[in-house]
Amino acid sequence: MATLDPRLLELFETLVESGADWLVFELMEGINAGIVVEETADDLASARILASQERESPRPVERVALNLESWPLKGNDQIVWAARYVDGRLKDLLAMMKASADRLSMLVDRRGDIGTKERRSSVTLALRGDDEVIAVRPEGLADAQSAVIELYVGLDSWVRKVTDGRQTL
Amino acid sequence: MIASIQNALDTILGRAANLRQANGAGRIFELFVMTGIAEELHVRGHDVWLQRSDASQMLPGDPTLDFIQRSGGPAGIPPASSGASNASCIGFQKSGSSQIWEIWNGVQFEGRSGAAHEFDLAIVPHQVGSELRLIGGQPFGRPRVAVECKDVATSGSIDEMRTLVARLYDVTILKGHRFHLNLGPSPQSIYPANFGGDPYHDSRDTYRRENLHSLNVFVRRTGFAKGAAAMTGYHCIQPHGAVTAGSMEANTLFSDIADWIDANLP
Repeated sequence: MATLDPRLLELFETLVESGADWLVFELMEGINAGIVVEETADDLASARILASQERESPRPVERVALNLESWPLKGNDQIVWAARYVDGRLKDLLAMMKASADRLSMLVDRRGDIGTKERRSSVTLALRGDDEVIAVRPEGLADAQSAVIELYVGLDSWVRKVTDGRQTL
Repeated sequence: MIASIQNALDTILGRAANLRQANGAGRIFELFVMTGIAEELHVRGHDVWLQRSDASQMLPGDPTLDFIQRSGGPAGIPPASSGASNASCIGFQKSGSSQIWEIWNGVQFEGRSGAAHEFDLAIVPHQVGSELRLIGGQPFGRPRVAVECKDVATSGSIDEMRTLVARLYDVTILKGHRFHLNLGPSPQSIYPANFGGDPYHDSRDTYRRENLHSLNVFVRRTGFAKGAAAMTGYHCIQPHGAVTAGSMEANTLFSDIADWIDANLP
């Protein structure tokens, strides 16, 4: 079990206040796990080949029953990791939403005048819960993406402050 | 409170309010993978469309073009008569084929044990969706393509893989199961639907043959811990890690799934 750096509490409080408490849980899980030794891209590519073969290949003994190898994040490393995680996580989520919305709109347009290059449709992403529907329209997504730079600047400034200028984002 | 960070977060989460939901981020990841597969199929010349829960297609000029994902508890397929406000899906038809397929997001399947299992993404024959939309319900059997999407901070463990293997095991219908399950003479591998005796939809005689007759994919935004891929070869599960917007890994994933669909689905 990792030891949580108390300087993170200010960041956690800000995330909770903004409605991103799920990000706090993710940060705590990530810090608790530390830096984990992972399968490489080549490992995964080899595994995919094995998974599609009609007959099972001889078993590579070294890949069976390995213990999880990891090392903890401590001190300033924990601060920088958390700030980078928040920055990268939201940036990537917004990029995935934009890519998804663009693809969906393209697929609708292709059901119309095939060959027309002019883009007309804008698909809204809707998340339907038991009691409410949350809709994200393209203009809202653009506004959210424009705030990513502001978030980066804020996180960078906070990292500098709590590490006495020793670290940056 | 850190004012500058909070200001930025208020804008981001205010405009993209789905990110305030506990499972909002996970659903975005699933949608990213779902639409990536659909786009790749479209690029390859297959016919691809968006479909509302009342079975109508979304067309240019429609007054509303909402692609709906569910955020509540897992569920099966609602009846089409309940309207267009339930989860949307993506339909496709391979070039030169008469068979239509549907890509579902977050639908619960019924296993042989009677337990329900949610598949983040599932590709099933249109006949199954069409039949379920008559009165609503859960599919029984195994999707031809099943994709588990994990959008979590930590590296994937072998426990995650065990969970997917167990889920696939429970939804698999083999020829030998027909007697125990009182399935009658029809030998198909998924219900409800009528495939008119098309042998492609027949159940197989062993798990391995069924594993190879379907595509089983484990997709993670982050990576897999060393050793987590040990079960994938025997159980025919394709692991894809580090799948993020614009990444090479995402392109490989979409391409691999479309390759399998091109080579295997009728």
